[in-house]
Amino acid sequence: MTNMIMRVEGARKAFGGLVAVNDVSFDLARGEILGLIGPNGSGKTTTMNLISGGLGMDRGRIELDGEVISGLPANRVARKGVARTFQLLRLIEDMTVTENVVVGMAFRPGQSWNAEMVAKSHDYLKIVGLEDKAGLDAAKLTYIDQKRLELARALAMEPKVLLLDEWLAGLNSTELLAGIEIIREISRLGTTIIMVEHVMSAIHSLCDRCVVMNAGAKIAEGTPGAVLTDPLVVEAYLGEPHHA
Amino acid sequence: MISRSPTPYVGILAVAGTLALLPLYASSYQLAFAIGLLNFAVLATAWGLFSGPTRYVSLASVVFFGIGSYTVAIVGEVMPWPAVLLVAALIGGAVALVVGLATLRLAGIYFVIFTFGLSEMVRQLVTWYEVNVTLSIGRYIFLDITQTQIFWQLLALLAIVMLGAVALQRSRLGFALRVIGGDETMARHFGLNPTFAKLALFVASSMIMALAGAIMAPRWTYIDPAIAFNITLSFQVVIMALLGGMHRIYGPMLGAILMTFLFEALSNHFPQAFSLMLGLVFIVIVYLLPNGIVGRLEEGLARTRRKPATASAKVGERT
Ligand SMILES: Nc1ncnc2c1ncn2[C@@H]1O[C@H](COP(=O)(O)OP(=O)(O)O)[C@@H](O)[C@H]1O
Ligand SMILES: [Mg+2]
Repeated sequence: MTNMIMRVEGARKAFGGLVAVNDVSFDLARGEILGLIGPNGSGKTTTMNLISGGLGMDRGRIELDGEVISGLPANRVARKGVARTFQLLRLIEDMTVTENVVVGMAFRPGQSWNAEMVAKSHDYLKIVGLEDKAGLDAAKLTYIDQKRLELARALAMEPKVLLLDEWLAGLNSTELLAGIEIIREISRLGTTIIMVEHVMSAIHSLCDRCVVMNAGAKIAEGTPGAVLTDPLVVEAYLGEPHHA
Repeated sequence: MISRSPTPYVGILAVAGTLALLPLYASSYQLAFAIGLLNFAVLATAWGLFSGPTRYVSLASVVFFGIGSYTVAIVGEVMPWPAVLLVAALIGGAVALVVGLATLRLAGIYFVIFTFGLSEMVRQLVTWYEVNVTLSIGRYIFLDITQTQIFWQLLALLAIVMLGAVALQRSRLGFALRVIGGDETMARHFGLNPTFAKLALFVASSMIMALAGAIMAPRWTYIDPAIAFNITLSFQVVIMALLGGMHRIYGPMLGAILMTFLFEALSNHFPQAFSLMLGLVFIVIVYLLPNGIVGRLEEGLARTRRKPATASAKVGERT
């Protein structure tokens, strides 16, 4: 089945007595945008961490292009082609915008260390609309621009699968529209995306499919239109009206 | 970040070449002083090479320095000198590899404590060995190596270390270390193996320290574990590097120069005040110079000419 790029099978992760991810399975088709949604604390970020190798799994397996990546440390998973942004931004503030993008490029397999990386970093900055700020220190950027930079750095890895953890959160309505267009463009350029998101309009307009989590378990899966009207999902969200 | 400019290399070689003439003009007292200074310049620079970017504070400098000295005491008379130096560097590197593998996954605070304990442990171990196996606590070093030769060797070592530091700063490994120093967890997610990068630098830095210890050994004629593994040296190195400032390659060297002059001046007048001074300088660093003298000078410069030059300069390089 070459159409499938990633398979998550029976993933489980407990923190002490708390089962943050409980037997979660889903497939990811090549080129699609999969929404990972659910109330706060339902285990979305933890699932992303299991995929990227930031956390080890208790049970289950994850395959990327037919290769098992679960059990590998994060640096190996990254080199196999999984890139991510962080829910709480993790830029190197005393590095320039360009240097932060080079972080994404420099440790890819087969990448040589040369000045062309600086030129190439410009291409990624352009996708996220940050090309005019290349020489600034990351600390000097506004919040939205720092989010753009996180994304550019992840793109610089030329990943097979890109994990976005609430990348659209905290944007105002104009920024949100721009953000949605950026993600659409990245998808159009051929990257498969898993995005954790609360913003319903973004989920509706971007996601091909959604996996819904609640209290660590997958409770629904399907198109955004179908899952968001699913009574089980509605109830899960109503239990936590904050983001519904 | 990435630069091929030969200027720093040429500059380092030119300065070293000029300084090499010093023994022709200096008195033996001045030469001895210069040797002490060069030794600390090498140690502080080597320390900053690893600890600057990784922010791991190592108190193990004296372990590697002492290993170098002891290597000379043990094999100095049975091998040609270059081979002795090579053995010293290799033993220092091997010990660093083992220590690094055991500790570089630890958080910074545990690393400090571990390296402190290590110095004490190695000193006790060598003492035990000497007392129980060789049946004498000290060793004599009779080698036909003059002060001038020691000076030249240290100067060459310092030049090599500085050249290496510039090359490192321009390399992928140097960049990796800056990323790790910034956010190690994030670094892993971009394909970087932090343990490997830290280990590589720790081993390189330790080999340099072992070489310095080996080169310095013939000055002493007699060493015992208390002399060779005196923890004060580790503290001096840390304080010198922090005083100078570690976000520039030449910062630790600058700190070493200042402190060596300071100690020289003070120990002539207040021979008992050494530890007190070390403590005072440390307090001054923490409260007044968190980025070292170099950091303070640069802040001052930036304030006097507020120009947008910084942004473009940073894309290029930080030497
Ligand atoms: N490192 C951790 N240690 C302990 N508990 C954690 C840790 N990370 C997450 N959790 C807990 O696991 C649950 C799921 O968290 P998370 O995956 O961040 O949820 P989401 O991203 O869906 O909001 C929460 O109850 C959270 O408190
Ligand atoms: Mg989350």
